[in-house]
Amino acid sequence: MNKKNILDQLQNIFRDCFDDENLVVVSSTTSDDVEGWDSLAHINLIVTIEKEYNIKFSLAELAVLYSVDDIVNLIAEKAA
Amino acid sequence: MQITDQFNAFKAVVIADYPYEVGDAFNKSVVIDCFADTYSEVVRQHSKIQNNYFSRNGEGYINLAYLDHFLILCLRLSKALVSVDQSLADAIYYSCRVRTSTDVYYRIEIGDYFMPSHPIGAVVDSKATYGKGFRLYNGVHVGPHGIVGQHFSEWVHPVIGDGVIAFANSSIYGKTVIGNNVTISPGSTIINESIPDNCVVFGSTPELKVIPNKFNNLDIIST
Repeated sequence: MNKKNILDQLQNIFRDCFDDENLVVVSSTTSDDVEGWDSLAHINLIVTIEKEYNIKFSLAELAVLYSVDDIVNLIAEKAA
Repeated sequence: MQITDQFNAFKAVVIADYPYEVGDAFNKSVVIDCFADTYSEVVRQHSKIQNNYFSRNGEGYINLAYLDHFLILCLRLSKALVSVDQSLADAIYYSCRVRTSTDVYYRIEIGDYFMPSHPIGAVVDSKATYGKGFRLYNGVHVGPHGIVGQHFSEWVHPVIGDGVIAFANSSIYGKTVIGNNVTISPGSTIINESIPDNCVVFGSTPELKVIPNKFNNLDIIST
């Protein structure tokens, strides 16, 4: 799965999680850029991604997920 | 307030609480010196904590009516006294428990800048180790795991890094290792986990989650 496809899929996941059909995320997007991306939203996002891709992130992996790019890279690695 | 006044106030509290006679022990010069040294060291540590509850205008202080300060002084003093007069250390530990409803035994190893915050009901494993700037809230439980049927010599105790905040009703058990700069959210239960540095912990083992910690939990301390 290439990273562009993952980013496209994440776009929909983000829109669902934040209940915002107009939300646009790019690789450099971080929690500082999205209204409502607080700690609880972050957890919801992670759980949704794990279910969607049928993958499980380790605690060490989760501890360094700062940006959308970090998430894309990790999904690409885990789902390969 | 002068150290002598604080010593007399502290002594009166412990004597009032403890069911056995300990008054004479407080008159020993070694105990008075130990109190003065410990008190000064706690004030020094408080002077580095950038919070009005510990310091004002860079001056650390101890207010014995603040039970969190009382707890810190009891812990540091009983620890310093245990090799001098264990009975007195036991009396101070007893007084600390009844006044604060917190169990922090003097054999424990907690780093400098310990910051309990109204930790009512907290019971923290005296054989676990805790780094500097440990912040302890109410109802926190730290201890070994799976102890039923196991001799205590086989118990494994948690190791907790620097700058860790254990929020209310969180629990840390067994061979858990908590990294540095970790915030444990309220109600989390961590069993036999390795928690990386710089994160915030949510949920419970085996469905534990972490997210990056955007803050430096030790920023409150100026060293």
